[in-house]
Amino acid sequence: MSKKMIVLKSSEGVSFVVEEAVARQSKIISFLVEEFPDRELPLTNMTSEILRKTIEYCKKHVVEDDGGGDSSSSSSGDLKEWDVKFVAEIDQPRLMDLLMAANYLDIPSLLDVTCQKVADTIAACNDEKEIRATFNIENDFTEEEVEAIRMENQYPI
Amino acid sequence: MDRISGLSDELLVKILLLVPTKVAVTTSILSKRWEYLWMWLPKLEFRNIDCSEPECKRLQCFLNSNLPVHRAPVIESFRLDLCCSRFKPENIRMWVVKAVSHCLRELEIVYESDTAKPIVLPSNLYTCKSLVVLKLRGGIFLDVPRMVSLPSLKTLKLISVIYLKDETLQRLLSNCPILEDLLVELGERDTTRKLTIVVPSLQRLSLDLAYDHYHIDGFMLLTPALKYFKLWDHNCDAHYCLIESTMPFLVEAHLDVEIHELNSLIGSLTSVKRLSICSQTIFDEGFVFNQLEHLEVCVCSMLSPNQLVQLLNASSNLKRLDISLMDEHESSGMDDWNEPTTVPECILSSLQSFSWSKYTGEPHERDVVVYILKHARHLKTATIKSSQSDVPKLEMLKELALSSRASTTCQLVFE
Repeated sequence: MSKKMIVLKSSEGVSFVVEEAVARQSKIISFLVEEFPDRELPLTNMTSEILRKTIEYCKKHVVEDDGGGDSSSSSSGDLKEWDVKFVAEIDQPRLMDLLMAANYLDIPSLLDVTCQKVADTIAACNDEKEIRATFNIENDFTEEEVEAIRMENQYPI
Repeated sequence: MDRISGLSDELLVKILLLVPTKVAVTTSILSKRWEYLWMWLPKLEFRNIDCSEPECKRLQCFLNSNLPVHRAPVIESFRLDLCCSRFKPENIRMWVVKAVSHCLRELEIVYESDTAKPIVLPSNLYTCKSLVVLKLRGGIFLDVPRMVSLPSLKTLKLISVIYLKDETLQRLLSNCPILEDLLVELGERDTTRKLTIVVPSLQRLSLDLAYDHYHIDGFMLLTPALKYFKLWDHNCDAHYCLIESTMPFLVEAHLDVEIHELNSLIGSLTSVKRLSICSQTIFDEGFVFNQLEHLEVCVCSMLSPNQLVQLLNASSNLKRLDISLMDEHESSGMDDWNEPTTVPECILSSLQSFSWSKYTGEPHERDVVVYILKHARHLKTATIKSSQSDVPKLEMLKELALSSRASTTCQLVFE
């Protein structure tokens, strides 16, 4: 039996033909496929690049519906390793795009790995200045305000 | 606005949950967008990095001023790891009061301080409806009020805490209707003499009576639903050990004990599939472990070989036998091993796996291995682990490899 395919369209109008089981890891797509079968789904706020990345992740994580066996535990370890590599290769701006895509499409496991990567990046910074520089965060506090917060949150800073 | 600051509050809190609380608090100074985000964190963990006065004071001030205004409606977990006596017990008490008022699910307090006045926990903790996990360690004083009620509590760990009196623990347990997992380690600052644990719902119990605990009269258990039981009892005083119910669901038991009367204990463990045991006392004959598949015995003192034979005779379906040395135990070899006149049933018919860790190659030990190899017809693997370099491995291997084996398919593995 041939696998059922669906079409996802990026903001640039590029069509991606994807196995339905792969795309269904997105709870939003899963819902849309049921409501509008046989229609291509426009994802107007996702670039082709991010959509391609998202599909790559979903392809890797699709669970084959063949009953499964004892091998699942070892493959889950491999999968974790794959995830770490997957997010490690993505630069900061694209990571944010991917995180937002995961949030928008409602793919919980992709959201978890992207959030974890952002968290690890924050935790690796030595101080608030480094966090600002890493994420281009503009400091909109006055000197006095910074002092006031420092006084209040004396413990960690 | 930059990309990350453009994320929703919900997503940013999700990210902050993945960094240490300390780092999350640091982000309050990044920009106005971030100032109050950490206050929505549903999990908080605080510890003092060092015991210096400024450090402890800073942490104390921070918690005093920030916990009362924490914004998360639910605090899922609150952890305090304080390792010195500079904190005021009444402050710590107040922090717990605050955390509990946020529908607290999990509380862990570590207060390692030998000299300090113990922390007295607030009474609202004992009636916290949402609390699922409670872990307390160190100088924490338990005075459980009459009105105690912890309807959601599933996991309770009490390590070296101080009980007001003998009945305190049982009073706490008496109103935990769904408690599943209990760990009690008596510490040296406590003076409990009679320990009573009556919990119909309990599935896992670890009980540790320390060497250095004050004189103890004994303990009584009534835990009919238990599946897992671990007992570490080397209290030097003679004391009673009463198990007041059968435990038909018990699957796994670990005993590391020096108690004089073992029969009551052993009699209630006969349903186990897995048993690890180290005990000098020999229990009476007549106990039968029909379900036992995996037996682990410690070579230190337990292996009066008679007891090994007795255990093997009682376990007619045994599949796996591990002879090992438990942590912090010293080997006493296998003196006076005499081949039993009849070979235990399990060796002939069910034993598939046999291992000996910390094998020394001494004649008595070798005799046991040779005996098992000679009679175990269904043995698939025999694993001999030796850490001692003074035993010539090759010789050991040769000696055992040449001994006759009842099972032609048995693999002999040296590690």
